[in-house]
Amino acid sequence: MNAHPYKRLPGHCWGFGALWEGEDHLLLVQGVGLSENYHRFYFRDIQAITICTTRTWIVLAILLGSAAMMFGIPALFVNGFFRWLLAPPAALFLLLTVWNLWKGPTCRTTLQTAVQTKRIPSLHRTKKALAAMARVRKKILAAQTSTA
Amino acid sequence: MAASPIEAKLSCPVCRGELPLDLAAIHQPFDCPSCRRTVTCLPFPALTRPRAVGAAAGPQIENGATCFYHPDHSAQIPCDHCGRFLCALCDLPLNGRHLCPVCLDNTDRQLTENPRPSHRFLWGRAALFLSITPAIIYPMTLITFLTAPLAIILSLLWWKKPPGLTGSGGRLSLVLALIFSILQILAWITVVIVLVGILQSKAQFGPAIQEVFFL
Repeated sequence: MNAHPYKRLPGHCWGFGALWEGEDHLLLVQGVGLSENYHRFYFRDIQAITICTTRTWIVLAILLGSAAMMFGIPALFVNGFFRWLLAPPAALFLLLTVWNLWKGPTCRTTLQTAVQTKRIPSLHRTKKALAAMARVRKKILAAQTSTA
Repeated sequence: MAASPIEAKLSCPVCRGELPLDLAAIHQPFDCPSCRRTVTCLPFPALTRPRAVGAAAGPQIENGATCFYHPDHSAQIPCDHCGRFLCALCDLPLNGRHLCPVCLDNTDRQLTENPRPSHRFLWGRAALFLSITPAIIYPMTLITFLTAPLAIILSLLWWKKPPGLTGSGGRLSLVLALIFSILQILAWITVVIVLVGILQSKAQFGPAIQEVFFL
């Protein structure tokens, strides 16, 4: 059953927000738990989408990699119970490091209209943000050339 | 139609510094002049389009007709409900109709569901929360004895409540809440049946056991 007219755009924010593509607008859904807040950006009003790369992913990679080494290196030199104690967190942090690197550079994305500039939290990875931009670009241009 | 001067302006999402429009227009990544981070910008025609403002906002319906709510603004269109003249600010399009703020407010109250709400409570998710959370935090305690039937009642009461605009917290959540609550009640019924069975067997064989062990 598909009762709503929205299509989800790439990117998410751990359940705290996502950008959806509607018929004549973009819908930013923000909310935690039992309620949701909605912000609409009509295609005809969108002035620009700006993506700026950040260094968060490098910091995250260093932190996660360090944690993986912190557990992993001692695990290589001990035996028995302590190896079993240290190996699982090392593996987990290593997996998170790989996942972070695979997701690619982080960014901050804003959407600008004549009256506001709104940050889009769900578009915090450059790959996803560019993919979302590519998907909505044609629709926004079509809406603005038809109203011009 | 008179218009305000073009005030096209782009700012960096991180440092808020102003971005050069000529660089943004080429659709290629460039460095922010302030923070030196790589910026990719997608500008649209609305950025450089002149904005109609104030009394000169568009042609007037009649000679000298002004907005009912803003006497210094020229009228653009009449409200489809009350017929009052509206300026571009007060014209609120809804499902192909043009309404003034007062009529839109009244229409919202009349409609069972506002088609474009800015906030929505997720009833399905609330029922699911009521059903699952006590069972996880306090498993098989008396609180679930109360919350499970309550979750069933609320799921049925909220069955026709609208879900989130993107479908979250809808019927699926309500169905899951019902299933989980029914399972909890079945668990309670099983516990009660087993306890009654134990008590009955004690009552039946109690004297015989006492005879064997104590006499």
